[in-house]
Amino acid sequence: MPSPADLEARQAWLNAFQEGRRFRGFVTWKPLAQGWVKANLEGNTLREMEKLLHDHVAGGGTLDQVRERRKDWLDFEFHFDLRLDVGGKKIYVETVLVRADPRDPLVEIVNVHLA
Amino acid sequence: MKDSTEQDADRPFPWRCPHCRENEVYPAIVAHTAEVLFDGRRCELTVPDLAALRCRSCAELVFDARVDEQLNDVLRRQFRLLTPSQIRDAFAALDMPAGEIAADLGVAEAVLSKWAAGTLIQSRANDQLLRGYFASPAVRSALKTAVRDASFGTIAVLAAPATRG
Repeated sequence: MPSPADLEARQAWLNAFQEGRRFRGFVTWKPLAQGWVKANLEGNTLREMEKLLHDHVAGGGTLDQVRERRKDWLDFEFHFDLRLDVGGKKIYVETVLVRADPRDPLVEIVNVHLA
Repeated sequence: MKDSTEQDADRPFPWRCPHCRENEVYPAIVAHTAEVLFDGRRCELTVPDLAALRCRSCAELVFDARVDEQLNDVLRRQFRLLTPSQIRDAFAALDMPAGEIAADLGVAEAVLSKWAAGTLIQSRANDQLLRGYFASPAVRSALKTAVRDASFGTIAVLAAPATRG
């Protein structure tokens, strides 16, 4: 069952996107997720998507923390999901905290699709 | 205004691989084909030498905003769109408040700012509008009239009225 991300994970997640605005190496995308954005969200760039994701959560939007149960993803204890509107489309975004240290976080966006 | 690709510094390589978690992600040149939605249609972009990232341990391909920017550049070239730096240069040359330009063009100021920063890619129709606006005082004047006068443009005019000598 999804529950709101715990405070430390949420902070690490937000910090990754904040650092990612200035520095490379804090937010990465699986090619599958990047490809979905390019093929479905006309005119959008990953930079803009990252800003929208950050602003959604920083503005009080829900970041769900979901215990990982899928066989291929058991390397990660949790994944972190959000749902938001982009260009009139309601989308679902799945992310993982590759590095969960709030002082040195790394988020990967692993999947994006219509919610 | 900074270009969207400008950053102060990067996390030093190697990065941790999101797939195998080894610290083995390095820059790598790869051939890549992307399907991109543009002007309501899906088109294919091929980049033979995309500067991406790859894990040397598990071969996982990793993308980020910098990689995406290269695809955006290819898209702009393929559709002959104004680049963000060309848009910024034109804004600087016009030396007009961004709000006034946005009002003339009928777009939100935030959207205009994102086109100039390269974080949103303008449609071809908006690109044509920008080009006309930048290139022609007559177009700028006409668009200002259109903002004020709802009847402007409701009747097609085939040629400019002759001036009396």
